[in-house]
Amino acid sequence: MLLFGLCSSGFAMSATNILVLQSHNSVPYQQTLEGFKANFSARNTAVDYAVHIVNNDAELGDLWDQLVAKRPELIVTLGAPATRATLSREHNIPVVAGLMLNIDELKKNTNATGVGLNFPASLQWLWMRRLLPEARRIALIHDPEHGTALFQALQKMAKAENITLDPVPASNPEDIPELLKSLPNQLDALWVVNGVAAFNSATVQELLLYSFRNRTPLIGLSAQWVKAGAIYALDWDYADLGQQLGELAGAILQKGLSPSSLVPIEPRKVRPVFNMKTAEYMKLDVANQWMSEMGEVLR
Amino acid sequence: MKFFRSLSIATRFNLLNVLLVLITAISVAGIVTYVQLAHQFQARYEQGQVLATLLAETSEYAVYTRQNSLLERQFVRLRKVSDLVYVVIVDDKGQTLAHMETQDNITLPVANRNNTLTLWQWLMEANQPHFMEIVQPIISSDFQDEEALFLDTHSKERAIGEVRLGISLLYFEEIVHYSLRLGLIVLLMILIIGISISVAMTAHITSPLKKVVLAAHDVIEGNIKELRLEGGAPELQELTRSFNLMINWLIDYRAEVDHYQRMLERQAYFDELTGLANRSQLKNQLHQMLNRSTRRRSSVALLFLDLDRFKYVNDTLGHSFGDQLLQKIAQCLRQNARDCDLVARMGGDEFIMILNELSSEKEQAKRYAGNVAKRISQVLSQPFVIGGHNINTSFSIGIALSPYDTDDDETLIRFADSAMYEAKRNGRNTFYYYEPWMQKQNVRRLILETNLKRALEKRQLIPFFQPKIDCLTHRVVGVEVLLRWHFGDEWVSPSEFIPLAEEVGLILPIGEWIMEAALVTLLNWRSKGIVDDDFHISVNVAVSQFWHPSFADRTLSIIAQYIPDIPSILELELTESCLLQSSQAVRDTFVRLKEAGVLFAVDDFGTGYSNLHYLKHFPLDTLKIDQSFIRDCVEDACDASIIRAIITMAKGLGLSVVAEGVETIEQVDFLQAEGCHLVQGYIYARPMIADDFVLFLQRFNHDKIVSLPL
Repeated sequence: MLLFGLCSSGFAMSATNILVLQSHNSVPYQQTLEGFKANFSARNTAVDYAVHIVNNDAELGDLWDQLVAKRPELIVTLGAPATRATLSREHNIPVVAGLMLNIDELKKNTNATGVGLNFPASLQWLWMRRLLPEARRIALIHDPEHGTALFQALQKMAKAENITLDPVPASNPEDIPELLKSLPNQLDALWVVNGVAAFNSATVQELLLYSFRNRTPLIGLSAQWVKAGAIYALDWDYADLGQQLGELAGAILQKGLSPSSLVPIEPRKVRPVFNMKTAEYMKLDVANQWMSEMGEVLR
Repeated sequence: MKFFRSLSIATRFNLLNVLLVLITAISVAGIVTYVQLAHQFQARYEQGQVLATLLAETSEYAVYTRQNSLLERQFVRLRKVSDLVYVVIVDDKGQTLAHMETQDNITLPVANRNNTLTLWQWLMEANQPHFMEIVQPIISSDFQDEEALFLDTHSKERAIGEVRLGISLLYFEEIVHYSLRLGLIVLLMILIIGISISVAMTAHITSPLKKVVLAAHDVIEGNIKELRLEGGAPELQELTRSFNLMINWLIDYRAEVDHYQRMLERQAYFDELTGLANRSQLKNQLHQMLNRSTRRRSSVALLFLDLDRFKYVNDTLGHSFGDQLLQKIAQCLRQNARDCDLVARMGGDEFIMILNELSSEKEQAKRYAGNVAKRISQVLSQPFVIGGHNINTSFSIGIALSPYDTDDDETLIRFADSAMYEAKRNGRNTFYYYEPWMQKQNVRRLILETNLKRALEKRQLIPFFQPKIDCLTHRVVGVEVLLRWHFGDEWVSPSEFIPLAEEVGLILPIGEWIMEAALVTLLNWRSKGIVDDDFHISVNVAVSQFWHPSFADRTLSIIAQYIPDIPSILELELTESCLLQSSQAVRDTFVRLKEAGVLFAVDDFGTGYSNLHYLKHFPLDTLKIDQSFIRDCVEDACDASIIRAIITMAKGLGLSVVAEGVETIEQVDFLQAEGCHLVQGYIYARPMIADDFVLFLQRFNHDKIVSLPL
C-alpha cells in the first residue's frame, strides 16, 4: 500500500507538460483541442497544458524562450502558422501538428508528425458522385503547386465515368476573375478541392455569386462554405482529429516513438454538410438516401 | 451707473426680466437649434457614411480585380441618390478607378481621411463648402493557409482603395437658414410675451409699492392716515403693517405734539392756575384793543386789581387755599366782564381787567369803569367758602383810561398800577382813578425803595425816643423807640418807609438794628445812672417781622448779647394784626420771649380787628390806646366810652394801659379820671434823639414840668 501510494504520488508529481500552440481560437480549433485532451484523459494520463495563440512567427518569438524554459515534453500545434513558427526554431521537442492542409511540410522535419486535413481523392469523388450524380462537366479549382496530384487522381476517376473535369488552377486571388471569365458556359458544378491561397473574402464571395448567378452548384472546402451558399462540402470531425493527434502524442510520449517514425496521417472521419436551400434554388434532385449519412443538412 | 440709479424699481425689474428672457431664449433656442441641426448634420453624415460603406463593400471585388467597368456600373444607380455631388473610387495608391459627378465644374477637395466632420467644424470653416466629403476605405480580407476553410475566421484585412463621397449641404444650409429664421421669430415671440408678462407682473407687484409711496407722500403733506392694501406679497403685507405702525405712531406723536403745543400756547398766553390770559396775552390783546379803540374813536379802561391781604390768607391758610381763592376770584371777574372785555392775571394776587369799546366821552367811560369796580367790590364783599372757611377779601383797584391818560399799553398798565397803589395806600377795598401826581408818587417810592437799602450803611436811619410818663408819680417809666429816616434834606415818615421796608424785605435787618440800638442806648443810660433799673424801652415790631420764623431766635440772640440777665426792660409793641395768627409757631414765639423777660404791648389798640380773643391767649402786658380815640375823647362821648371800656377791660385782665398821642391837659385829666395814668404824647415830649432825651429826662426829673422840645 505504501509502495502504491508512493507510485501514485510519483506519477502525480511527474505530470506531462504539453505546450499547445494554435493559430486561432475559433470553434474548430477548440473542438480539436478538446478531442486531444479527451484522448489523454481516457488514458488517465496527467497532463499540464499550456495553451497559447500564435498566429505568426513574430508572435512566438517573444514567447518562445519562456515556453521552452518550462521544459514541455511535447508541442501540439494547430494550424499552419503556429506549426511553421514552431518548426522554424531549433529544438528537440517532439511536435504533433494538426489542422494543416499541406502535410508535406511535416515530412521535411524529423521531429514532427501530425494529422492532415486533405481527404483522399476517392472519398471526395465518392461523395461528389453521391450528391451530384447528374453532373457531367465540372470545373475543378485547385492549387497548381500542391494540388496537381489530387487533380490527376480525380481526373482518372472522372474519365472512368466519362465525366469531364475542367482544370482551373488558381494560385492567387487576382487569378479568380479571369478564371471565372474563362469558364465554359455549360458547367454542372464548380468544385474547389484545395488552393486556399487563391481565396480571400472577395473571391469566395465572387465564386458564390458566380454560382448563384449561373445556378452552378459550388462544392466548397468546409462547412462554412456550405453555410455561405455552397451546395456541399466534406467537413471534419474536429474532435476525432484531436483524438488522432492524441494517439500520435501518446505514441511519442508513452511508447517513446520518434516523430519521424510516425508518418503524418489523413483524417479518418468525414462529415458531409449539405445545403438544402441551395439545392432547391439550383433545382437539383437530391438523393435522399444519403441524407442520413450527412453530418449536417442546412435547410 | 447714474442712469441705472435713476431707474424705478419697475423699470429695473422689467430690464432684468428682459435680460433673463433674452438670455434664456437665446440659450434655449441656440442649444435646441444647434442640437437639432447637429443631429440632422450627423444623420446626413451617417447616411452618407452608410452609402460609402455599402459602396466600399460592393466595390471590393471590382477594385481588387481592377474591374473599373463594374465600379462605374454601380454609379448608374447612385445617380438617383439625391444630394450626392460626386463619387470617386481610388485604389490604394490614390489612382482614380472610377468617378461620377452630378454637377458640372466640381472641384474635388483634398480627401479628408479624418472622417469626423462635425457641424461645429463645418460652421467654423471660413469658406464653408456646400458639401461634405465622406471617405470610406475599401477593405479586403486575405485568408492565410487554412483560414479559407473557415470563412468566419478572423482574417487579415487591408485597405485596397477608398470611396470618396461628396454629399450636398445646400438643403442643409436651407434648413440652417430656416431654423435661424424660425429661432429668431420664436425668440421675438418669447421676448414679446416675456416682456408683456414681465410688465404686467411688475405692474401688479409694484402697484402696492406705489400705493405705499403715495401714502408716504400724503404723510409728508400732512395727510396722515393708515394704508389699506388688499392682496400683495407677504413682504408687502409686512411693509404695510410696518408702515401703518409708523403711521399710528405718527398719529400718536402728532397728537402728543399738538397737546404739548396747545399746552405751551396755553402756558405762553394763559395763566395755568386761573385760565385767565397771562401777561403776554394781555400785552398782545391790549395793544390790539388800543389800536382798535383809536380806529373806532372809542376808549379803553384798564383796571389794575390787587387783592388785599392775600399774603395773609396765603400764609395763614396755605398756598393751596390761596390758589383756590384765586380761582374763585378769577371766575368772579370773568362773570363780571363782557365778551369784548379781557381779564388777565399779572401774577400773584394782581389782576387786570380791560374794558373795551367804552364811550368816547371820558366821563361816561370813567363812570362805567367805576361802576364795574364797584360791582366787583360788592361781589367780593360776599365771603368765599373754601374748605369750610369763610374768606372775606377785597380789591384795591386802580383805573386808567385810554386815550385820556395815555394811549401806550405799557404806560396804561403802569398808570393803573399807580392808581391801585394809591387805593391800597388809602385803606384798601376801594378804587382810584389815575391822576398824574400818582405817577410822581410812584417815582418817589421807587427812589425811596432804592435808597432804603443803603440807608443803614449811610447811617441815615436814626432812633428817636418818646417817653412814657406815669401821671401819678410824675416819673418817666419808659421810652418808645421810633425810627426816623433822614434822607437828603428831609425826614421820611415811618408810615412811608416802614411799609416800603416790609415790601422789599428790609424790615428784619432794620428791626434788629433798631432793637440793638435801643438796648445799647438803654444800657448806656443805665450805666450812667440816667434811668432807673425798672426803666424799660419799647420797640415797634412789624407784622411780617414778628411772624418771621427766625424772629424769636434772633431776638433772643440780641437779648443774650446785651441784656442776658435783665428782665422786663425790653417791651415789644405789636399791632393787633400780629395777634390775628394764632398758630403754634406764634404762640411759641410769645412763650420763648416771655420766658426771656420780654414785655408785650398791643400798639394802636382798638383800630384793628375787634377780636379780643387774643387778649386771653397771649401773654400781653400793656394795651396802648390809639391816639385816634384820645384826640377827641374830651369832646366825643363815643371815644370817651371806648377809652373807658378799654381801661376797664385792661384792668379786668390785669394789663397796663398807655394812652398814646396825648396832647392836652384835658386829655390827661380825662385819662387820669378814668384810671389811665400812663401817657405818651406831645403834651410831654415829642420823639427825640438820644442826647435830647437825656436832657429831657434830667429836666423832667428836676422840674416835673413838661417842656416840649421844638
